[in-house]
Amino acid sequence: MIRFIYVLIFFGLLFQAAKACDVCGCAPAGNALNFLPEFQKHFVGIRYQYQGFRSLPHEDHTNTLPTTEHFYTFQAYGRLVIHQRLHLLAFVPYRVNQRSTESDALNLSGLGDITLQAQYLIFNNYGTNAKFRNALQVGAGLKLPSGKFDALDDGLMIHNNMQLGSGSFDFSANIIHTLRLKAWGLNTSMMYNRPGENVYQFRFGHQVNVNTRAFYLHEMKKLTLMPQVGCMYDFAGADYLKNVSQTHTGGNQWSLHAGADVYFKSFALGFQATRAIHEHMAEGHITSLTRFQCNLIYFLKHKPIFKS
Amino acid sequence: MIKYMIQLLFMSILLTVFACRKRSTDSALSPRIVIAEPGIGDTIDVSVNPELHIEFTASSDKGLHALEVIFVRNNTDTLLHENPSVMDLKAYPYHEHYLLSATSSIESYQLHIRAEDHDGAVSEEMVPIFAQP
Repeated sequence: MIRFIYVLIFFGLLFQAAKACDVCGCAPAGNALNFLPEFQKHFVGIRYQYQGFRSLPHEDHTNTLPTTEHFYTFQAYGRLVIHQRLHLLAFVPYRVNQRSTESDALNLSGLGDITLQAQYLIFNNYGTNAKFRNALQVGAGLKLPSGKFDALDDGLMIHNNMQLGSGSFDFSANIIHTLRLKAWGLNTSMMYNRPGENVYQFRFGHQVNVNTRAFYLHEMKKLTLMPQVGCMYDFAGADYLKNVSQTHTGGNQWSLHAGADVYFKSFALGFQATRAIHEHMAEGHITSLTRFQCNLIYFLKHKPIFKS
Repeated sequence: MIKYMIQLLFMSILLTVFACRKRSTDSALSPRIVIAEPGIGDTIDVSVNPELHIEFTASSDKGLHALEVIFVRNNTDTLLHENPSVMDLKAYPYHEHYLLSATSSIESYQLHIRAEDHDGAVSEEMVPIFAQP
């Protein structure tokens, strides 16, 4: 019965987050899983992400100006450990998108696209006496078109990248491996995202993300500090409109990131900064700014709902 | 019985209240067509770049019912005639690139856009442009 109540509370929290944004409207967001600690614990959390870009006009739009885009995402997310090996995750983003030129500015805010994800723990020897401890999990996700994707600016449809949502059902798959040797660890993940087509027959290009980070667990009296550094590769295919590949879309990026997580009792607080070191996006017309992310997680319960 | 009647009455009032809808004050508004490109009277230099960029958005709070895009040369030759599927959409972004054929003299073209919403209200826009060799 208590397990059932936990399920209800979890989905109840999600429902409240979605309902709260019904009035404002809604967005596509990168839901990189990042590092999710403590495999066997349910959690709820909030996450703040910032992404910025500078865009140069291309030859199709000779009368437009360079723009700077800022994307702020406030995300409620959580994990429900259904079984020792099966975890469900949900991400509910609230997005604030801003675009500015020398002459004007555009602001959009509202509920973004909600993502549901299932992770299956294939292998885990944490808690054993093994010298090298490994955990391997695979996952699949579905992004729902809950974000508004037809916002207008002075009567003209706003660019797809600036909309709060993609208007499509997107499928994603991932594989995550974590290796620990004493206090040192290495976390590696690969994620593939296959966006669907929206009612305008527009489809964002598929995306691949490979991320690896080294971390160190420094135990203190009442808290644990986990500094980490890593490297990430992102690839995005060209967008498609009516099955025609769009120019000045897609690209790839190499970036470095550094951050730290702090664990205190049932809380985990994290911060990360990411900086591109090499990129070629939209045929060189887009450059990215330094990205930031911070998150606060509260672990709800120590045991899975159903034990094996 | 009276208690049951009161409950029924209360439920009826609630249903009536929730069934109310704010009547739109702009019911006379037609669909909106906003054209980004081409501009009225634009001249395309075909020898430099024969590509015509057509970009506009048709929108209606009532929901679009039909959209028609016609591109005509010299008022006689229909080069493009499209009816994008816009049924029930509140906004539709149109974005196409059309290659103009080589010309030996200045030719006139007309872009004609017609949008209709679910109430039968119609908006039309006509954009004359020119192409030079």
